[in-house]
Amino acid sequence: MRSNYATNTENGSAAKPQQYFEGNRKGEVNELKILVKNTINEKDDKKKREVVKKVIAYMTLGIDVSKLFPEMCMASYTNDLVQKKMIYLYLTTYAEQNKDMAFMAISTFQKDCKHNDPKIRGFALRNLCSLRFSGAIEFLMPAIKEALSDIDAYVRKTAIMGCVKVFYMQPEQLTNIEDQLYKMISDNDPLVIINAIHALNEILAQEGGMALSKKMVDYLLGRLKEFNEWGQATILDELSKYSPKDDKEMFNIMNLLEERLKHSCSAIVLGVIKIFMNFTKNKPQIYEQVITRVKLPLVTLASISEGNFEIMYTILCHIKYIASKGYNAVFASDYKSFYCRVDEPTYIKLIKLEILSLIACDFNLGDMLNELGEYVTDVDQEISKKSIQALGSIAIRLPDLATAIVKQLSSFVTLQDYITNEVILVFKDILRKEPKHIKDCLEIIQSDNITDSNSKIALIYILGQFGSQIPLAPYILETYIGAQESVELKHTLLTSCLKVFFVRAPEMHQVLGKLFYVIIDNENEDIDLKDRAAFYYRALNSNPTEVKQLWHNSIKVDKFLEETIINKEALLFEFNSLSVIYEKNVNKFIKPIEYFNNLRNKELQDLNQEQQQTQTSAPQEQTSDVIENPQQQPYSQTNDLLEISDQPQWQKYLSVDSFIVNFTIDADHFENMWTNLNDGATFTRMLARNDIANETAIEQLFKQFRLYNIAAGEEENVLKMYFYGSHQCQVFFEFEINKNLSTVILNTRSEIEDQAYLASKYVEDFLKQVHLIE
Amino acid sequence: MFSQIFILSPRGDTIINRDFRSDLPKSTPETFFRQAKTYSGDANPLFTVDCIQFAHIKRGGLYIVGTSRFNLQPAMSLELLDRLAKEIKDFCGVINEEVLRKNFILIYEILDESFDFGYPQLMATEQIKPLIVNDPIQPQPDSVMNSLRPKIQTFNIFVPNTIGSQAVQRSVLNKNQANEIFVDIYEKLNVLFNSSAYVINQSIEGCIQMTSFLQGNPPLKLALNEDLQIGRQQGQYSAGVTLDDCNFHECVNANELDMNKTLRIQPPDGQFVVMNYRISGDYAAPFRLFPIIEEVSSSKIEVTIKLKACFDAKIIASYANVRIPIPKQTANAYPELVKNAQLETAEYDSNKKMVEWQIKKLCGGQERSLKIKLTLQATQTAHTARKEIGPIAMSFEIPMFNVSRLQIKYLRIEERGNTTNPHRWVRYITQSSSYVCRI
Repeated sequence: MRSNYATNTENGSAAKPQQYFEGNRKGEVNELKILVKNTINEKDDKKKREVVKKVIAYMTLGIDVSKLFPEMCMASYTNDLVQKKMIYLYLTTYAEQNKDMAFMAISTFQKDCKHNDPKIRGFALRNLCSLRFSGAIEFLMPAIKEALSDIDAYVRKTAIMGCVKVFYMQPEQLTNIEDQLYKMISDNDPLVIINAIHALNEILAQEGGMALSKKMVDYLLGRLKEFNEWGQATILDELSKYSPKDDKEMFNIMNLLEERLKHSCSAIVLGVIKIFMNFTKNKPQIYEQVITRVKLPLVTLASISEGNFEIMYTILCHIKYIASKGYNAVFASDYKSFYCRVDEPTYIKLIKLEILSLIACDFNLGDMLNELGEYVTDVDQEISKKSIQALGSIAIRLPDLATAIVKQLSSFVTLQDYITNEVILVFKDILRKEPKHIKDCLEIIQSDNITDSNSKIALIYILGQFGSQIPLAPYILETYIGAQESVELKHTLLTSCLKVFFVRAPEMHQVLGKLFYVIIDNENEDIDLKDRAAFYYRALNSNPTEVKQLWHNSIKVDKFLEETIINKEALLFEFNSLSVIYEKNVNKFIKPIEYFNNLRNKELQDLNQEQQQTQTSAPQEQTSDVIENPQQQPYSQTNDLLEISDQPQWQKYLSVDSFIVNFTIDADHFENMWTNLNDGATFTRMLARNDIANETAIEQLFKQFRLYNIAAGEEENVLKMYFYGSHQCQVFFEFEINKNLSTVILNTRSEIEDQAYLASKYVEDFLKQVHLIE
Repeated sequence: MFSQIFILSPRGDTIINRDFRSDLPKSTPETFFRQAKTYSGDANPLFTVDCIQFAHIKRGGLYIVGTSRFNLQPAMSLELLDRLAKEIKDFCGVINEEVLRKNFILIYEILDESFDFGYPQLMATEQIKPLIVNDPIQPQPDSVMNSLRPKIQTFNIFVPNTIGSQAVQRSVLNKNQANEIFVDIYEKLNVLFNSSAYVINQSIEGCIQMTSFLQGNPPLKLALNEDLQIGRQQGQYSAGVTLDDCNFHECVNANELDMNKTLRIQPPDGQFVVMNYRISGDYAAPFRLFPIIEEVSSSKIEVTIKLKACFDAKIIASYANVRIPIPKQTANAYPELVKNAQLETAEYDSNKKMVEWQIKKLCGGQERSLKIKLTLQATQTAHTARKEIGPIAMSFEIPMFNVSRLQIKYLRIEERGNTTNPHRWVRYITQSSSYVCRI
């Protein structure tokens, strides 16, 4: 008999090419796996904690450490809560990918669910419910049902969330759970109530969520102050769906809630406002009073928020929404609250500018013009542009005050290029609405700072529209002919040149001719543009007067998009929802769960493909063609009802997956264990075939089933081999083939005797499979 | 509610990643970071990509992100993330990348108690405390690093850079800590002067913030000024302290505020804001700036800035910085301090075209001045270039001083039979929020 230390080196050599092919990460994960395996039996909890922590660190980095699942399952048999918490985090993350092995973990979870300490009960149940695989359900439902009536609120509230988790796995398991959840709304503990509401809303989403009776509303309102901020916000959102039976009830509820407007939590304030708005939306007068009433808390939240700019942004979005729905006057006197501050991020400044442009009116415009004028020279170009746009939209909205704004805008012309570019864009819109302002715009039109393509188009449009009032129009237009510009610009140029031609034919005649020539003669020119140019050319050739008339009959614009912005009938969004923030209808950004399932499946497929590709390039472990694929080893779930046993079914069978891949121990450890352990299980069988009864073939066979050779020797036709493996615990085998007697003897030992028996059954099964024994 | 919560470093590395519902792709952190980088400034706190909703806050340079497939309540989701950040701060003492990396297991624990299946659960520090088994790992104390902290912090703008802040930067899990409570009145000033030193706009945003390490969370009674008045009526003048509006934390009972100016507080553990207030009325600005611009020749400009500290001589501002933007066409700029200037520096940053004047300590009543000599490039004349000077922005901090005169008269611990008398630390701090002088 010779001692064989080859196992370790073999693993080493096997790991190397793997590393080579699969990159360093995989190598690291393998190393980690060995590390975990080696520390499982470590007594020192501190060391173990460090190792487990390392695994979680890898997981967080997004490295796939699902390979460590069996080891982590084993490690979960610990009493150290620190480790347990980490291991549970791991198990819940990877259970979905390791469905078969997740069974191994369940018994620990189950045990902890019955722990004396409610904290541990709740914690174990939370994690048990987070194991996302269908097989867990049969263990889950009894545990949840028991926990729903647990004495401790922490466990109860966890159990309710467990129901929601089950709902997404196997909703049919939850028959009649609604009644129980409704009952739990009368629980003593506020968190239990809130979770029950959440659960009902998810489970009954098809029917529109939890049913809300008057009794329920009164009850929730009565207990409102017992809840924390998030609980209150949840209840308020729930109440906003309710419609009071009469005005008395409505005012009662509103009076009760009014003092909540003084809360520093924006979620509560917005929740209350939403209720007020929903209740009064069909009573315009009261609605207006409501808006006036909620202005103060909104402005306060928008200016303080403890440096919490994100909350501030949300509040500002809601103010803007209210202002844009025709209530801009409400905020007009608070205009100084919406001035930009140096320490604010850009997104706050931008939304403040939008609000300022909405609430500008005759009495605040003077101050506001100065203020916006200052922003135009801001170092941040985005702010600068936005303030010009704000000035523009004020001019369009308040035509009586537009002259002052146009004059101010004109004064920016000498500043930077980007300012001039933006100003001309704004002028285009103002002039479309109020052509009379053209006389104040003349200076900018002659500026040579216009560099941006869109601004050039705007300029050309203005030149065309007001050709008769701009002395230099033909000459400026001429400079654009033949220039390297976008097709869009050329279209506008063609239109504008024609327009000017009709009013100033002598000056434009040559320019227009040149333009036609440049367009029509250019082989690479856009075909539409060419067609248009050719059409006008022929039309003008045949009958210029008629073409001119055609132009003058063109449609006059009398309504502008900018005007509809402040309009009560414009899109109504749900208050205190993302619609208000994005200014989009809800169906534009919310999709049903199936859409995300598809996304996730696609992501998973991509990942698998990637893995398969790396696997095929890695050396195959395949050795003997005699052996069938062990993965297909049956792990039959017998549904034999008579087989009553207090052990869960999974313990009766070991599959290849229960064993840890490439598990290693050293020879000393093996010898030590082997001599100190009692005989666990032994069987003797007749040898059925001789061809594979040699050291190498047997070693490969066992390896396929994740049992590893540590020593082997042959003497006088008696082959003796030692193997080991590890699933829940380590198992050790002495395997003997006596060719003289044609017998096969297996001796199995383990720390847990049951496991030795199971392991010997497992070996017997696969030996039968390859017909080594009968 | 939230599907996932993750925390990313400023460079986009994942520090914490918790998937509650497994109903969204795993690649959301990358999706988020890619989108956030498309904004020229900070990203909007709420945005949507591929119908996945992203809500995030930025604290200590870190992105704390929640994702969802539902139409969230925007304020609630951001408040939740903010609460989470505060919990982390309570447990770890401070919030920054190093601390988070060292304490990631602890943070997973906090996350798991705070959220279940994405729904908020226990979110108060004292509720979670008994459920936490990991101890916080404190970062190496490094006084040099602390003094290098940026002047404008993205995290809590109410963290003062000067006094005693170390005292509150510790974990609530610290077993042998003193039974004490810190009360801070922070006021952030917002003042806008026009070129003739006339105040165009001014306001105060203030708060009373507490950091409680009190054992057993005893109820407190906090008394404010007797002449306090809340709500401003048009044309009414009051000699007392008048707040335009204020709001209160969940733990505060303000029913007695109108009557006897007291607040009853059931303090949670760790840091929380008792009350926020804002004041828009006139007040004496603590600093006055007097800029003078002279066109020496067609290519040379001289800017002289005088700064006057208009507060009591016993009060000392811990720092005062003045930033003066100068024309883009500047060829060179020479800031000159007065002779024998102490604890003062002035530097010209040619990339940003900005002169930074830093004053380390400034006593009330003192005056300082700075002269900047500008030479312009040939392409621009002094007359057009002078329009580009300014606006001058100032940042400062004045400890033991507040402009509103809001005061804490007393803070009583209302527990009968309690023999130990906890320490109560009360501080007043005034900082600049937006202190700008236009030219």
